[in-house]
Amino acid sequence: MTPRTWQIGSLFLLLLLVVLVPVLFGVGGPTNLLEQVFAFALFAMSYDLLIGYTGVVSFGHAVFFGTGAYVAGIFLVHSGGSTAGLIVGTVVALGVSVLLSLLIASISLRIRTVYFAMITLAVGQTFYVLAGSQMLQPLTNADDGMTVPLPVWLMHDRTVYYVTLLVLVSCVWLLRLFVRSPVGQVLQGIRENEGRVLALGHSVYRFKAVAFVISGLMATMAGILYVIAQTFVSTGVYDVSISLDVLLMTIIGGVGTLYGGLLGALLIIGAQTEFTNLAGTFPIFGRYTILFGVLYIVIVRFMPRGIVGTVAQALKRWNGQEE
Amino acid sequence: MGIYLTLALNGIVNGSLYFLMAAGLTLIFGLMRVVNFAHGGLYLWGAYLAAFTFATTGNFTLALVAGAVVAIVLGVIMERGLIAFVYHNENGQLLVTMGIMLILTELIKVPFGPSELSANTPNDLSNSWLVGQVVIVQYQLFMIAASVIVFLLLLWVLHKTRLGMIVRAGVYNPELVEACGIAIRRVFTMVFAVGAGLAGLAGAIAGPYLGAVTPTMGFDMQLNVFIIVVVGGLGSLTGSFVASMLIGILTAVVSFYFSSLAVLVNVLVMVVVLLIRPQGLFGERESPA
Amino acid sequence: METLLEVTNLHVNLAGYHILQGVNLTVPEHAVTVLLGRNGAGKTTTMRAIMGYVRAAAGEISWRGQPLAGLRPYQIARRGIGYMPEEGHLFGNLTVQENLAMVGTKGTAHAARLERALTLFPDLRTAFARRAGTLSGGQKQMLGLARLLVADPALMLIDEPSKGLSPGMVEALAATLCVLRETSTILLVEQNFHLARRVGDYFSVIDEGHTCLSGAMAQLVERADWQRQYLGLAVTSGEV
Repeated sequence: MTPRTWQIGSLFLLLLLVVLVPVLFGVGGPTNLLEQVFAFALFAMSYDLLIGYTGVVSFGHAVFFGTGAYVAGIFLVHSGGSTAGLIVGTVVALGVSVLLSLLIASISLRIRTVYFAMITLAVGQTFYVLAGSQMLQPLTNADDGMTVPLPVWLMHDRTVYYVTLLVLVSCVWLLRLFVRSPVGQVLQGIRENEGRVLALGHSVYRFKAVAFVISGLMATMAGILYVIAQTFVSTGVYDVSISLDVLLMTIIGGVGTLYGGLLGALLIIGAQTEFTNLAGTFPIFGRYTILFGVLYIVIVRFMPRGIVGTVAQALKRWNGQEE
Repeated sequence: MGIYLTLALNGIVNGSLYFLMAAGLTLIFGLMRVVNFAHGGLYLWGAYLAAFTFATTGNFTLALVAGAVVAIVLGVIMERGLIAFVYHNENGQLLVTMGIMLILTELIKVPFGPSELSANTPNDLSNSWLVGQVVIVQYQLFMIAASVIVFLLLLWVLHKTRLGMIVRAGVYNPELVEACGIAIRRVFTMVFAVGAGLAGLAGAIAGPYLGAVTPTMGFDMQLNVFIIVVVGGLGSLTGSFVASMLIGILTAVVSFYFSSLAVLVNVLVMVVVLLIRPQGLFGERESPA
Repeated sequence: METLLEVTNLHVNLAGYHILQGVNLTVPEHAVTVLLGRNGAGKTTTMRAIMGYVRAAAGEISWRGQPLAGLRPYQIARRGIGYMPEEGHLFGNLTVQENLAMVGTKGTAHAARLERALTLFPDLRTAFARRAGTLSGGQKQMLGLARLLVADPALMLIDEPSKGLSPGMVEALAATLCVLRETSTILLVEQNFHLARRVGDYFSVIDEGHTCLSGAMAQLVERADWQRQYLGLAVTSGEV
C-alpha cells in the first residue's frame, strides 16, 4: 500500500466516523462539541490562509468571526427565525466581510508587520466594545447577548450537526481548490520568495488581497456556523481571546499546512472543554490559559511547523524526498 | 469651561501614566527592535504587588518599590530566557511575547483571584482642592510630578552619561556599536530592565488612581502605549512624552463623548501618522541595520 | 612579515544563497591588502564574516593564530579588529565628538590619537559639536576613518570608503589611508582600481564567492591581462 493510499484511506475512515457520531453517541454533548470544533476548524483554516500563505499576523481575526455571528444572528432574530432571514443574513455578512477584508488588506500591505499586529488588536477591541455598547443596544442587546431562533428545518440537533459538517467539508474542499489553483500557487511562491515573484511581473498586492478576502469570507462563514450551533450570540465572539485561540490552533496545527487548523481546533476546543470540566474539582485547571501561553512559546521555539507540518516533513523524508 | 479644563487635566494625568510605560517601551523598541506584547503584563504585576503591599504594610513608598522590583525581575527573566532567542524573528517575537502576556495575565489570578482588588490612595496624597471650576486631587499632581521627574532623569542619563550615549547610538545603529567593542546585548538587558521597572512603577501608581486593579488592566493599557510609542517615534524619549500627552488628552476627550470609540480614534491617529510620517513625530529615520 | 589574519576556505550561506564558496585570504602585517572583485562577488560578506556578523558555514578565520569562530562582533573588535562598513558607518544622531567617543575616552594615548585625527581632518574639528547626520558625504567618510584612527586597532577593515566621493576627495582619502598604514594593517575593499593600486601592497580577487587570484599589487599593475580578466578593466588604470 502506498503512502497515498494510506492517506486517502485514513481520511475516508475519519470522515465516516465523524458522520456516524450522532448515530453512535447520540445527540447532545458530543455533537455540540463537534459543532464548535467544525466552526473553529473552518475559522482556523481561514486564519492559516492569512498567516501561512500571506505571512500576515493578525490579532483581530475575530472581527470576521464575530461579524458573521452577529449579522446572521441579527437577521435571524429580526425575522423570527425564518430561512429567508438566514439566507439574507449570510449574504449580508459575507458582503460586509469582503469590504472589511479589502480595507484591512489595503492598510496591512503598507505597514510593517509589527504595527499591523497592533492595529488588528485595536480594531478587534473596538468591535468588541461597540458590540457591547449602549449605542448599539437595540441591535445587539449589548453585553447580555441575544438568543437566536433558527428556521424550523434547522431545529433538530442532528440536522444542525450534519449541516455544519457539510458546510465545513465544502469549505475545506473549496480552500483546497484555491490553494492548488494558479492564484494559490502564486501565493505559495510569494511565501517562499516574494522578490522572485515580483520579478516575474505579478502584482503581489493583488494576490495578497485575494487571500485576505477569501480568508475573511471563510472566517465569517465560521461565525455563522457558530451562531447556528450555539443559537446564541454575545460580545464574546469579538473577544480578543477568540483571536488568540484561533492563532494558537493554527500554529499548533502548523502554519501554512491548511489542514493543520482542523487538528488545532480539535485539540484546543477539546482541551478547553476538558479543563473546564476538571476545574470543577481542581480550580487550577480554570487557569488553562496559562498553558496556552506556554504553548505559544514552546511551539515557536521547538516546533515552528506545528504538528501537521512536522509530521508532513517527517513523512517526506521517510518517502525519500528531500525538503 | 470647567469641563474642558477638567478633561485637559484628566488628559495630562492619563498622559503622565502613559509616559511611564511609553518611556521604557520606546527605548526597548527603538534599541532592540523587539515588540514586547508582554509589557502590559509587567504593568499588571507591578500594580497588583503594589496594591497588595500597601494594603498589608500601609507603606506607600514600599509599595511603589515592590511594584518596580517585581517588574524588573520578571522583565530580566523574560528578556534573557525567552526573548533573546527570537531577536531576529519578528513574527516569533509577536507570538512569544503574546504568549508571555497570556501567562502573566492568567497567573495573577492564581494568588489574587479573577475579580478586582481594590487599591487605596495613601492618606498623604488624598487632599483635594477646588480651583475655579476644577477639582484637583493631590494624587493627580503626584502622578504628573512622577512622570516629569522620570522624564528629566532619563533625559539626563541619555545625554550626559556614556551609557546613555551608547543607548542612543544603539537606537540608530546597533551593529556599529558592537564594532566599537561594546557588548550591546548587555546594554539590551539593562534597558529592558529599566523599561520593565518603569512599567511596574506605572502599574503601582495606576492602582490608586483607578481605584482598583483588575486582570485586564494590562491589555487595556498596552494598546494605547504602543500607539503612543509609534506616534512619538521609536527610540525618542521626547517623542513619547509629547505623544503621551496628546493621546492622553485625546482619550480623555473622546471617552467623555463617545466612550466606545476611544480606542478606534487612537488607532486612526496611529494609522495616519504611519502613512504620513512612518518614523513617528520625533523619530529618527531607521538606520540601515 | 607576520600574517595577522588568515581566512581558509570560507563558506557562508545567507538567506538560502551560498554566497561565499571558498574564500582564501592572507593579510600580512603593516601592509594594505585590497579585496577586489565585481559587485556582488562577496567582498562585503567576507568582511562581515571576519567581523562576526555572519556565521561561517565552513572554513576558518584565524587572527594571530587564534580562531575567531563563534565570537561575537564586539569580542572580535576588542581583539584588535576595527570595521568601517560601506554604509552605516556612523551614528547620525550623535555629535562628531560623541561618535569619536564611542570607541573609548580614557588615557593619554587616546587623547593624542584624537588630536591627531582632528588635525588630519580639520573639518571634523570645526564640526565637533554638530550632529553627524548633518555632515556632507565626504565629511562622513572622514568621520568613519577618524573613528578608526582614534580606536587604533591592529587591523582595520574598510569597505569602499571612496564610494560617492569626488576625485579630489579620493586623492585626500588615498593620502589618509597611507597615513593609517603607518601604524596599522588594513584590509580594504575597493571598486576604484586607481585608488587600490595607489595604496595597496597586496591584492586578492573574489569572483562569484571564491578567491581566484592573489598576489602583490605591483604584479597586478603590470598585468593588463589579469586586470581585463578578473576586473573587467580595459587597458591600464581606470575605474571599474
